[in-house]
Amino acid sequence: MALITIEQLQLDSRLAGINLTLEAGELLGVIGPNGAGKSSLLECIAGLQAYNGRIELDGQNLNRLHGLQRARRIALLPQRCQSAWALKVADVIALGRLPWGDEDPEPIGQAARQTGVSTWMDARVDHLSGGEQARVWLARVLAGRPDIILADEPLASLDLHYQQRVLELLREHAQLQRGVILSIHDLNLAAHWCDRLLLLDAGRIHAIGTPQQVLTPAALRQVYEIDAEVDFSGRQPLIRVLG
Amino acid sequence: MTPALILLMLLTALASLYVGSTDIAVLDGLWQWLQGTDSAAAIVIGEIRLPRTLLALTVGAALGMSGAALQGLLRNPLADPGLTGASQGAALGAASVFYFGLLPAAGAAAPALAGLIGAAIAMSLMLMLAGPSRQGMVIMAGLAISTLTGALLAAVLNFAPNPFALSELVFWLLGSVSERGLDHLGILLPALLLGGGLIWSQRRLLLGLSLGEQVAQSMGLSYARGSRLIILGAALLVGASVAVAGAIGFVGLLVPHLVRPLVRNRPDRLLIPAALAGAILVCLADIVVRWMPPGRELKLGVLTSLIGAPLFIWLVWQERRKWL
Repeated sequence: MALITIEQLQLDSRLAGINLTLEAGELLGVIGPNGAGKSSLLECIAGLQAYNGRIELDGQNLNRLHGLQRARRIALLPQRCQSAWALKVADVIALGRLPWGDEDPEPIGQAARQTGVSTWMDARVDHLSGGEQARVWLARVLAGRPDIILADEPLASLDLHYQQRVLELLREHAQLQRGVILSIHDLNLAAHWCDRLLLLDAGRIHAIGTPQQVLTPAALRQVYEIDAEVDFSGRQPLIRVLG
Repeated sequence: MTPALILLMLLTALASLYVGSTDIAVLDGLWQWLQGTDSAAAIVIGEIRLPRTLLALTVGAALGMSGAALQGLLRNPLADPGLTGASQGAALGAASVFYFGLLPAAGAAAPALAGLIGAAIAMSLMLMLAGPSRQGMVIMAGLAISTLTGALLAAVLNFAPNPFALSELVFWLLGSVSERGLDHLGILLPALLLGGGLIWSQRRLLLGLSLGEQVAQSMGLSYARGSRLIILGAALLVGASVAVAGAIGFVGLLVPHLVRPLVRNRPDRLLIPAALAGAILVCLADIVVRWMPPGRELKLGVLTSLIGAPLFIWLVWQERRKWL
């Protein structure tokens, strides 16, 4: 069943004619060059942009939902995050409970364990390294127990180990009645982890489908203007840019 | 934390009732005043020291809370009613009323009302000028608006009808809670309750804004509506306190800094403690003013600025080190 259905989404000059569904249990990757509209798409679904067209959540018009109701079901992990105040890690994660109006220790503790930040609960978030902070921001999103996570390039500034950990967590989240939309630059990781890929080019959908359907040398040449070798025969898909 | 601050505030208030040029039995005087007896002690307490103490407490609470709210809204630890143009806007509004007799329909509340309007206009102009890249631009935009309102205020002073009116206005601008009566409290207290209530209703937005506007909005909080309510609340607090007591600088800037470590830096939990700490600080400063040797009184606003400005320099230094 479709968790999210998008029909004819248009956002000034940034997005046009977007038709899309996010199925339950799906990890959908959004790829495309810089400025293709990846962040704008996620911001529309998160309720941050006034768009034209229609976005439905479980068949309900997203614009009709109260902000807090929407926020309980859809959470945004923005590209860049920074705390203005020297908050403790525990308080940052508790921020994820804002849409619920509580600070329930159970989901907060679980989110901290999932992301491996339990031991720093009393540390100040600005004293952590960039990679450690990225896990705290993710824990904040998980603490709200949303059905849908919109993750905008969550892998930037993470080392290889934590890239894998974050992708595992998002993969784990996209089960049953939940889903994840992930904007991502690394095509190899996108091909390996995502169920389906959406290739955006200048605000329009260039292709949508399984990684094998979307990541063709022709599409990569057209959208990224690169020559690439694509190999889906091995255990892991391999996209190699030819110099 | 909050109970401890309440206790400290009550002790400060009691101490403030004991300080004055004549020795009187404070508790007896208070009791007699409450019963309506016309003894000397009752008059000193009821007419002079109690209004002064209560005004110092409410002005301090209003400034402390508005500082905490503005810093949270603008996500800038250097934001303060004085640095965002709000105080000068309020002073301009109130001074215009004194001179030109604007808003006659509002009666005794006219200066406070004009102060509120002035503060709200100044802060709205500042926000418009700072634009969406608010965090860094706030101080620059605040400086620009303060300069503008300062120039207009100077023009008002320039055209003062007579030297007496001029010196009266200048002394009022220096900031003081002396020689005012309980009727001033009738203006300040409702402003404190209403403005504080508006800000308190948006405490979750202040917490959500810690991670930026985008995150706050994605969590279902309405930034557009909430920020307007916070600005209106802060304008009420600053406008009323400036109209009644003149400019008492740096309280709104420093109090949140003193209290923040006690509330784990959470902007939502900062509001009430900042109000209490502001009340304590201004009341203590007013006690110091009364302790000074007799002669020309050091104005309360001058004292808070003399103490506050070096601390502000220290804060800028701390901020600078963060970016190095």
